[in-house]
Formats: sequence, structure tokens, C-alpha cells
Amino acid sequence: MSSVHNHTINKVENPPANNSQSWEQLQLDLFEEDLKQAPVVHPGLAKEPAIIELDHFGLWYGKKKVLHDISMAIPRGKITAIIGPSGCGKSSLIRSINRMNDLLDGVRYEGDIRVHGESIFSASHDVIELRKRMGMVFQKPNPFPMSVFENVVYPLRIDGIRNRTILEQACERALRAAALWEEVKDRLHTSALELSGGQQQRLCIARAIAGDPEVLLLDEPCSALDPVATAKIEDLFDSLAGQYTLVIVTHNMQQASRVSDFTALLYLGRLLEFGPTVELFSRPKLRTTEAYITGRFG
Amino acid sequence: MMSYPPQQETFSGPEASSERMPPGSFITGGREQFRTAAWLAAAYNEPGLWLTGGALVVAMGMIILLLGYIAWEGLAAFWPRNVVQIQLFDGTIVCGEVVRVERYVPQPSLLETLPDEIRQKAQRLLGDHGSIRRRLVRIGNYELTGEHFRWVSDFEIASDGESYPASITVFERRAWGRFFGFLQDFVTAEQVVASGSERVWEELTRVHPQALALWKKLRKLEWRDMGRINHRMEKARLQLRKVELDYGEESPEAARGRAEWEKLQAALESEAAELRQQIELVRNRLTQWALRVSTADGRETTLLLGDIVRAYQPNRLFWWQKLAIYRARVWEFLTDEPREANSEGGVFPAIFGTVLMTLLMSIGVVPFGVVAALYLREYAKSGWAVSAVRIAVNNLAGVPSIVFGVFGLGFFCYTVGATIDQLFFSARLPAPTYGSGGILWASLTLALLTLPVVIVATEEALAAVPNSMREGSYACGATKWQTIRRVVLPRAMPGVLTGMILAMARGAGEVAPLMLVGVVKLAPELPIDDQFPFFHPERSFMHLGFHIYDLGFQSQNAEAARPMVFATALLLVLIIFTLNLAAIFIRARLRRRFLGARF
Ligand SMILES: Nc1ncnc2c1ncn2[C@@H]1O[C@H](COP(=O)(O)OP(=O)(O)OP(=O)(O)O)[C@@H](O)[C@H]1O
Ligand SMILES: [Mg+2]
Repeated sequence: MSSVHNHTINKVENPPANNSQSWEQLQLDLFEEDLKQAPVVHPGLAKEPAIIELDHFGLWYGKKKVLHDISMAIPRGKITAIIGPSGCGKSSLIRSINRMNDLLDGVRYEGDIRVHGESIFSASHDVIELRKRMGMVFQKPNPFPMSVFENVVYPLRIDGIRNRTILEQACERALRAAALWEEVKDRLHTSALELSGGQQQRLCIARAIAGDPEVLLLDEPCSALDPVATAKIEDLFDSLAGQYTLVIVTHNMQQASRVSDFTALLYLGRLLEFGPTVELFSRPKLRTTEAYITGRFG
Repeated sequence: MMSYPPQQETFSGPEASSERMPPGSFITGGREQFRTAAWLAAAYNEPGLWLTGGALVVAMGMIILLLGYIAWEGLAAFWPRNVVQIQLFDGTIVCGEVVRVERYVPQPSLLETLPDEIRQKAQRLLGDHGSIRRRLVRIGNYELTGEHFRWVSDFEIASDGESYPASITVFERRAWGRFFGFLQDFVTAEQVVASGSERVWEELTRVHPQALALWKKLRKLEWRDMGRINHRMEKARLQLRKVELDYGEESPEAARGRAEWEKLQAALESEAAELRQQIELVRNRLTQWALRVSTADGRETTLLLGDIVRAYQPNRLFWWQKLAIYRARVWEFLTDEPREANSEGGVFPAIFGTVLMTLLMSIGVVPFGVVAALYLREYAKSGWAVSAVRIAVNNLAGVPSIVFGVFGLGFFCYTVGATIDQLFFSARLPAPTYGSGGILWASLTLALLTLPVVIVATEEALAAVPNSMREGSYACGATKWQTIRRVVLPRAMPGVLTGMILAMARGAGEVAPLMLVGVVKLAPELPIDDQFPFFHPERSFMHLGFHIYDLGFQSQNAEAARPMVFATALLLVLIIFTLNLAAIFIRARLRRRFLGARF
């Protein structure tokens, strides 16, 4: 065990086959060691104005605590990637930001999340208003059983907007932003369920931005897509940054390094390291981070 | 334990295994043996397959048999059959349509009573075939013979006693059933204008359409116009009664009302008298025409042309001419009112009642069921209370339908209906308006009966809506109700329609509860007509299912009603089938729209 710790940071190796200790155990030990320092927040973040602040945030599903003491500030107008092994709580975290977890039974919070400095859990805060300010895209495309047009203008419809021209403009703008306009402009009034999977996902992105939110929350938006569609959507994120604040959950290290400005690593419900993507990928401060981003585990 | 891949491959079924063998590669015995072994092995290895497949075949076979029988009998009911004239050994002449043929073994005591010659004939026939054929002949002419049908056994027939006289004429009449006879004279205003079969037939075919038109006119005058006058009189009487109830019998308002009422009554009376005169005129014109006819056994009688619905000479018709009569009869069946205690004529009021009631029931049950299912699935927190409600709903589906009838009678008719009568129709009391069975109460009773079907189907449809869709909607900032209305319900719509189809099929075929809450064997008026307010939900109505029961089991003349029973059953099946088909069609379209064709 100690021998592993004595290695320099760039030399985390596979254990010898005859080692009695399992690789998982080593990971856990490594993590425990790192946890004493966590969360490591890179200084590069300090000068960014934050739009969402998590403050010692914790989350329970029933008796099970899945997020522990998470404090991070998500910079405005930037793309923040959240990475971490499966089951570490990425979805739970991103769903907490627009309070989608409220829909589940037995969910409890501790700590606080603030948007523009205002707590989203305060009694005066309107959940519906909060969700309207945050577009969300899910892992699997979930278009509604209606036409392409109605899908895109759904957020406007529920606001009670009936004016045809406003709806049409919003629809075209959102579809163009989602790089889908050219493909569907002739079939706006056919069922959205007849689109391909990749088109459906871009449609969901168009829907998320049609209501003109400030923040886009994307939970593994490309996991069901092929490389071409993924590339299209990644380009899309680039063009959306600046106008919107993007929070992207991803399993794909390359994707995180390609598209995001900042990256946060979550591990077993805890924030380990959070910093500018370039720094985090080239000079990680924790060995767990280093092991994770080089694909040694996760 | 079954052994898996190799055996399954070889012994997948008797056909499969015999197919794989090249022809002639085994000697016959070996092949047979192998086949039997394979068959047994397949049956042994796949008992589930044989059991389930066999059950399916039996069930399907029985359904096809039933439907085929109903279809055959129902379609054959309207075919104009030839008329046979049979002379029996004792000189009796039997003339009519053969409606049924069967074989039987006569009682020895019956044979004893026969003359020697006939008995020997009977015994010979019995010796040759083991049984004797007998035919049921519809002899008609009820006013002369006192019976509608008669069995004729083969041995009773005198030699050369059977013939099909070309000039025999069949009359379908408005009363007394069919008449079979020969034309003698055509009488107009007591004057014989034509004699002899051919000439009378010509005259008959010329005049009969006029007689039919006059009859229709007479009926219109008697029913509609007279009915309107009566209706107005009744309305005025009710108004007066209301005034009397509101102000007291002695009040000046009541006195004024009475004066008005008397004036109106006098006016209506004179109107009615005028109408009666007109009716008398038409009736006289109609009754001037008569036919003198003789029966096969030589009796003579007179038939009024106004009583004849249809006359034809079947023995000289070709099949395409018979087809024309067949078509006319089917049309009459579908569009006309019944006559002769429902055993003749049409079933239009019953069709109308069935369809209207089914539609009203759907309008009643679907919104309720859907809302209840929405509450159970979308709003209620799952727990023991919801489970208990669900179990109760499912149990409701198992309650015998007659219990719903009793409930409908007690609750809708006697409680709700009586209250409505007290509040709004007090002038008409003690005669009930809503306080007795009617199409509205029947529809609501059936709506209650089919509620579990709709709730269960809707709940299933709602459960099948993926949660990701709900989440997508919430994430856009939709409220719960917006999510349900815009996303969940459209997506669940095909399932809801499935529930509606099931409910309609169940409701349209239900009879028992209806007998308590508003179905009658003969309803003089349809629930929808041209009298204000046009829709009369309080009226009792006719129903095809009840019609079948009434014809088949309550009829005085069950044998004559038999074809109608089958035809009505066929029609009911077809209507339910059509309703289902329509709903399935709509569902398929919705499915394409809401569930998507590909992924
Ligand atoms: N509705 C729920 N009820 C109870 N436990 C849950 C629920 N949803 C998630 N969890 C648990 O919370 C933990 C975090 O789940 P979460 O979905 O946030 O992980 P994740 O990081 O998004 O994983 P993945 O990368 O596989 O999507 C997991 O251990 C999971 O089992
Ligand atoms: Mg996840």
C-alpha cells in the first residue's frame, strides 16, 4: 500500500498480478488519501463570476446519502463539465439544480444552492419559474408525442403564448441554434417521434433553449448518439456558450476536454477536484483525478 | 427436465420432422414409426405447446361455429322460399313454406293409430333408414286454420301428393301473419274489376303501390298529426295544472287559466275533428280495394289491399327475382318498425335505441373513467388506500350485471328521477317522467357497469407513458396539470380508446340490467324525434339484445319469430363489430401519431 503512495504522480501503475490486494481497494485507499485534501478548487476559478453556487450541498434518497458536502461555483456563460464514475451522483447533482428531484419521493437536502445569489430552496422561490430559467436535456431523447413544431414551442405554449408569429420565430430560432432547422424545416408538422435518435436529441436541445433560459443542464446528452451526431452537438455547445451557461454531465473524457471550459470531478458523491479544463487535464492536483482522466479506473 | 438444443431441433413438431426426411429414404413402417415417435416426443417435450395450441383451436372453433351458425340462419331468414302443396293420405291439404327438416323415430303408439297401408309404409321407411323425415311447414292463414305451423311426415303424404303450384301467391300482411292462396277476383268498391289468376295478379301489381302510399299517408295522419294535437293538448293541460299548483285551485290565475284552456281545447277539438274526417276519407279510399282469394283446400276469403305489405308468387320466380324480394325484406328489416308482436317487419327502433344508448354510455363512462384513473395514477400517493380503491374497482367488474340494474332502478329512477319529477315535472305527477326507466338512466347504469373497464385500461395506458416524458415536461417548467393535459393524456389516448372499445362492446351486448331501467319490447316513440326538445332522455326504448330475448323466449309464436331472432342476433353482432372497428381505426391513427413509427 505504502509502495503505491510512494510513486510519483505520473507513475500510477497497474498492480502486479500476484498482489493480494485488489485494485478496487487501492483505488479506495487512494481516494481516502485524496479526500483529506478535497475539494481541490483551482485558483483559476476564483476570478469567474458565478451564476450557480452550491454551498455544502448534500442529498439523500430516502436513507441513502448520495451527495456529500458539495461546494462549487459554476461560472456564468461558460461550459462546465461534470465527470466521474458511474453512480457517483452526477445526475443527482444536476437534477438538484432545477429541483427535478422534488418529483421523487423521499428526497432530502442539506446545505443550499443559490442562483444569482438567491436560494432555490427558500419558500419564496417558485420552482416553475426556476425550471423555466433552466433548460434541461436528458440522457435519452424524450420528445413529446406531438409535432416537431409543437415540441419546440412547448415552453412557450405552457406560458400561454398563442401568437402564431411569435411561436414560429421562436421555433425557427431554436431549431437553427440546435443545428436542426435545415433537416426538419419541411416537416415541422409531422410527428417528432418519426425523427432519428440524433435528430430527436437535437430537438430536445432546441426545446430546452426555445424558452430562452439562462442555464442549460445537459445530462450525458450524447450518450445515445453516433460520432457524427455527437460532433454536431459539440459544435452546438461551442456556439451556445457565452449566451448560455452550460453544465454538461459526461462520461467521455475527450468530450469533456474538447468542449468544456471548466471540469469538476465527482467521486462517490463528493467533489474531488474542480478547475479550468486545460489545467485539470494537464496538471491534475490529485492522483485520483489523474488516474480517472487517464482512464485507469471509473 | 426437458433436454434442450438437439431434441428441440429434431422434434419441433410432426410436420417439421416428416418434412426433413427425404421421400423414400425409409421403408414405410419405419417412417411411420419414426413419425409417431417424433410426434410423441414433441408432445412430450412441449406439453405447453399442445395444451395451449389445442385450447386456442377449440376456442376459435367454437366461436367460428357460433358466428357461422348465426350468420347462416340470420341471412337465410329473408329468403323467399317456394310454397309446397301436400296432400295427405286422409285428404287434408297442407300448403306453405318448408322451414325446417329433421328426422325422427315415431312413437309405436302413434303408428298403431294409422291405417294399415300407411303404417306399412312408415315401417318400410323406418326399416330402410332407421328414422323418418318430417318437415315443418309454415301454413299461415291463421284466421282459417288456427295455427301457423304443421309437421308433415313423409309417410303421411298420399302418392303424388306433393306439388308446387305456379300460381300460388304469398301475402305478407300487417296482421294475422302470412297468407297462402290462389287469386280469384279483384274487387274495387264492391265491383269485381278482374277475375282469374293472371288478370287479378296484373291488377294487384298495378294498384298495390297506390295502396301502400295511401296506407303510409293514413299512418302519418293518425300517428304524427293526431299525435301533435294530443301533445299540444297535453302541454296546455300541464300548464294549467302548474298554474293551479302554484297559485291554488281557487285563485283568479287558475280561473283565467281554465278559461284559456277551455278556449284552446275547443280549438284543438275542432282541429282534431277535421283531421278525423280526413282520416276517414283516406281510410275509405284504402278499403275500397279487396282481393277474393281461395286457399289450397278450397276455402274462400277476402283480403283488404290495405292490409297487404307484400305479395309474390314464389314458385314462378327466378333466383334473381327472389333476390330483389330478399333485398327489399332486408331493407325493411333495417329501416322499418316491427309488426305482429315484433315477429315481422323491421327492428329500426331497436337499432336506434342500441346505438344511441351505447353512445350515451360512452359519453358518460369515458370522462369519468379517465378522470378517476388520472387521479389514481397521477395524483394519489401510492399506499394502502389507493390499493384498496384499485381492488374495489376490479371487484366492481365482477359484480353481476343485474345488480347494477337493481341499483340503477333504485338510485337513478326512484331517487334521482323522482326528485327531478318533484322539482320540474310536478304538474304531470303521479305519472312519472324521469321517475321510471328511460334511455338516460339505462345509459348511466351501463356507464357504471363498464366504469371498471375504462379505469383499468386507462390506468394501464397511463402507466405505460414513460416517466422521461413527464420529466421532460416538468423540466420545461410545466405544472402537473399542463404535463398531464399536453403530454400524458395524448400519449395515453390510444390506450384510453382501447378501454372505450372494451366498454362499448360490453355495454352494447348487455341485456339483464336494461330490463329494469328502461328497455321495453315495443316503444311507440323514438328517444329522438321532431318534437321539442327533440331529444327525450326520459323515454323508454327498444334494444336489440332485449329484442332477441323477447322474440325467442317471450313470443306467442316462437317458431315464426325464429328467423327474426337469428337476423337480430346477427345484426347485433355486426353493430358491435362495426363500433369496435371504428374505434380500432381511430386508435390506430392515434397510435401512429402519438407513439411514432420508428426509433
Ligand atoms: N431515485 C433514486 N432513488 C434511490 N437512489 C437513487 C435514485 N437515483 C439515483 N440513486 C442512487 O444515487 C446514486 C447516484 O446516482 P446518479 O444517477 O446521480 O449517478 P450518476 O453519476 O448519474 O451515474 P451514471 O453516470 O451512471 O448516470 C447511485 O448510487 C444511485 O443508485
Ligand atoms: Mg446519470
